Amino acid sequence: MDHNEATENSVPQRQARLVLIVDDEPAIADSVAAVVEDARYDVLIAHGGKQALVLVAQQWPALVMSDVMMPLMDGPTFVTALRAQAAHWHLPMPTIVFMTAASRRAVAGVVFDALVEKPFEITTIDALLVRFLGESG
Amino acid sequence: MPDHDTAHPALVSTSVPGLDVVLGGGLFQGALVLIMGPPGSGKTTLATQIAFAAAQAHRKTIVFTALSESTTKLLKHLQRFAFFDASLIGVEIVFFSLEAFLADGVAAASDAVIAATRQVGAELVIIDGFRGITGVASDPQQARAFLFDVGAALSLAGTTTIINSEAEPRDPKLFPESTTADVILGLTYGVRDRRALRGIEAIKVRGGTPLPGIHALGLDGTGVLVYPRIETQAITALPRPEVVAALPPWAASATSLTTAAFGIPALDALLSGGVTRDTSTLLTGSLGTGKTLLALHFALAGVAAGEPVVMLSFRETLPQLLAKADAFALGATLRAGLAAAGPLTLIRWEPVELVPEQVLDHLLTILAQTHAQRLVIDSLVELQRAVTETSSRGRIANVIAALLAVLRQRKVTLLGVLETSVTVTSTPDFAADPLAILAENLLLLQHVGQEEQIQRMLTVLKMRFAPHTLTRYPFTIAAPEGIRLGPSDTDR
Repeated sequence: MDHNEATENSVPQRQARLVLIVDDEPAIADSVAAVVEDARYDVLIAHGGKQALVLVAQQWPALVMSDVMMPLMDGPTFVTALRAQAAHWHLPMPTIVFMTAASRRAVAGVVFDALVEKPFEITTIDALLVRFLGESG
Repeated sequence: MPDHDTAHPALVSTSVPGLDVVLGGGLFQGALVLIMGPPGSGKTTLATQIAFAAAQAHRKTIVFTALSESTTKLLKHLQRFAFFDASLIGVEIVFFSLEAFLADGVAAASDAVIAATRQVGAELVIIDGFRGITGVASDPQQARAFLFDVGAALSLAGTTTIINSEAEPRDPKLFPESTTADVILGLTYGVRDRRALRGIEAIKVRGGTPLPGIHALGLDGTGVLVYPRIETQAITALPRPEVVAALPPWAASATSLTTAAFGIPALDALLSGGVTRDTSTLLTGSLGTGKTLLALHFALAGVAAGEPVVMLSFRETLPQLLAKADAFALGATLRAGLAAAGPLTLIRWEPVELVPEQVLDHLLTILAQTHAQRLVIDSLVELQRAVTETSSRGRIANVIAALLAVLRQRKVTLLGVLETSVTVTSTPDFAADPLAILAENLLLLQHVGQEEQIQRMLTVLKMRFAPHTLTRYPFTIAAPEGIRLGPSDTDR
């Protein structure tokens, strides 16, 4: 059996140091990823909600930093789907941080842990990592 | 009646001041709109202003941003404008990066963009940035084709689609796309005498009657403002001659002309009651001859009669005008006129970098709002200068002719002040001045040397609908009564 291939029924591996970044703008996803990597966490990048759901089926992140306005599957829809998956696999729900320029009305009705308004400073990401994942090793 | 109109789709307002008028009513739902112009001409502001207005009206809107500018950067830039409403973002209006769609190549991107639009249920889509796409596709023509395929597909599905393109408005290379577009707007941006001048032209409006020519475009904190050329207010599309082959019924009997008085008894008597209503009178003469004071008399005579009056001034500020009026016992009437419910409206512009379209568009709006039928412009020189600075001297005659035609249509009696460079002379020759030809009436104020004295003289050079003689009438300006016709006190 191939352990790298995720199937419908296989539960993804929990990764305590994994941060999933979801943003349709590659430039923003890449720059946030660079900051997270500098803080010595593992990073996964998705450019939309659908791609992000495929990735979490293989590796279950501890923290998700997601954009709100994304085509085809937006941030709130992705987070709602992620919560359903967490329940399905009996995995702890990752910490959810929205990074957005959108109105708070756009995330109304969705449970999340923090919201960062774009544009933001690099130090904001560092502070979030410390707050939710603790001091980096 | 509505059955006949079903062939014409309903027009949706763009909510950009003046743009609907230029477009001939607005944009029909499902239109494919191409906005072309150089960098800085206002394309993005114009398109996003239309987008926020649609979102405000709960019409779902998507803005696809180009590679050159991230959505975050664009949103930050848009925050400066009054039309920006953060509460609508992510709810009624979404901003997507085009780059994400292009990851799998241009061909796949087209389907993805259309799918995203369907999913949002967007009624309006903005694709901002042609150039950005050009960078990804190897062939610029292929990139253009991509955008137009997308636009055409969206537009066919009933989504109004606006594509912004960094290109010269009449670039012949864009011809294939131009045939696809329903509406083409060309933005111009130039610098003249160190001054930025922006313009907008409705190059093509399928099935519509746009106002022809380049109109003025202004950019400020409210966003884009469009000021149609005054010429298009006087004529639509093509000038048509008025051919009279059969006398209309109203012309059968002799018309009685009414007059607008100056409130100066001797002058009104000289003019058989005042200037003829619905005509234009030029008050000309050199500096210091009393033109502004006479114009003020004319305005206040209207106020005294309870008529709505508009004064368009590029010269005296309100305090200066009040001081002048107070010096001649006209202050009380001026104050009453300008009081909250008073009949006088004063429009004052600082005569710096004026845009004639803006000034005249505003004037016509105020005239319509106040129903004023008496107008004073002090002076036409500033308007002439504004026309020369923004286009050319050659346009002055057209602008003034159009203004006079619009005023005549609206039954407004105009008294316009016009400086002449002639200081002390006998009757100057105005035959070559287009303004003097266009206006029905011409009054000349002069300083004329009489031995040791300089005497003020008024001459009625032209009075189209009233008898007059080319006699010079002496007049005086003295406190408190102001202008008085007749020989000066020293001559008595």
